[in-house]
Amino acid sequence: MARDLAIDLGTANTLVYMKGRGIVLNEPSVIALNRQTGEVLATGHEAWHMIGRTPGYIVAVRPLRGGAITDFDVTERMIRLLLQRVGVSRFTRPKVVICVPSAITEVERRAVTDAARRAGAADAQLIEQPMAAAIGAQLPIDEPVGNMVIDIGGGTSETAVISLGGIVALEAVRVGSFDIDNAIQNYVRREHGIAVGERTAEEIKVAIGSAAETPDEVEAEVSGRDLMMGLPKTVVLTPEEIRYAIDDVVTQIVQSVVRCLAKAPAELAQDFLVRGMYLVGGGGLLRGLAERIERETQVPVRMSNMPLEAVVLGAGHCIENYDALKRMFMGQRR
Amino acid sequence: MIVGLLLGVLVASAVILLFMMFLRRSPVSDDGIAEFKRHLNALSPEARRPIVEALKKEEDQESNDGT
Repeated sequence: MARDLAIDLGTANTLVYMKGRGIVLNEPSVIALNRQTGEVLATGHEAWHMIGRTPGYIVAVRPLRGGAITDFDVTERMIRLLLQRVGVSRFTRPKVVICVPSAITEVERRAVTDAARRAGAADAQLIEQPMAAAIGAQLPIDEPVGNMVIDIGGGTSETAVISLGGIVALEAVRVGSFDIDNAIQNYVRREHGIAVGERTAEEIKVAIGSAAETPDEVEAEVSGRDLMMGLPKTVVLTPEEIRYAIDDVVTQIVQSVVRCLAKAPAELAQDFLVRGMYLVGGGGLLRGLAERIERETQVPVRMSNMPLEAVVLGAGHCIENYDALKRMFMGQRR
Repeated sequence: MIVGLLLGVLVASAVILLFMMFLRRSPVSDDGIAEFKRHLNALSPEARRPIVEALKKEEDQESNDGT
């Protein structure tokens, strides 16, 4: 008998929750393929280390961008491999709940469920990431109070107001921490004339990136390829520079939170002021982001205990209580 | 005698009909509320506690193994 699964198929990372076992897999959503034969060479951490370092015939790709499937075949192969790795065989077909961005289109929704079914799932249901995040972040969403959750992922940022087990207001933008990495890459190329890869940009963000001024700021040395000479070159970047570089993206995220607050019913506004908003997702770990949102909305922001795992834990809870919570799934409530 | 029998049959069928209507109606009217209550109960912090505790235990075990 197959154990049912919850999958957080994120743009950045993929997490799998197995019924009765907890989180059994947590890896980058990357797959390395042989371009000539189409053969899968590596997935997850192994493939992530290959990004930007592969010979011409190998390509390390992220099959999801902005939370949406950009390459159906590759996504299906990735899901198939994920299921195999957690012990799903041809004879054990589990029920699968997949977390997806709330702004997903009908076509994208069908693409995800088809990919899961073709990869070996007996049944594939979808759940909105902010709802799963709120369940996973242990918010009292069964009570008649406003719970606000901000989920900043790799490709999407979503803010939702949840009360009495349902979504009351929702705002989503297809902007996330990968856009922050891109903004850093573009800035370094434009202002310092050196090219840095996706992984280096991410390392810069983690090391000195911030959305608002923080007390212990340090500079960072970054090496890349000089665009004029073609030779390796090292430059020093300051936190102010990076703040300036990523400001557009951060502003878009903050504005979407403001829009969601404006959409929420007035009765719930008091709850936000008392209870605050909860920040989940890897993007929420950006230094100073909580402070920046707090400053611009005048509402306290709290960080979830498990920001990276909250979404899959919420979906896992739905798997554990499938019959009681099946009305949470997309398409069941409308 | 026959009239009494007919009346009895009529009353019995009316009772059965009413009982069947009640059976058909009552679950429908209660179902939504009962299901909603089940849904809210399943979302309660108490219902989520076992998962959170299991995960914490796993994390603690991992950190103990690491040290």
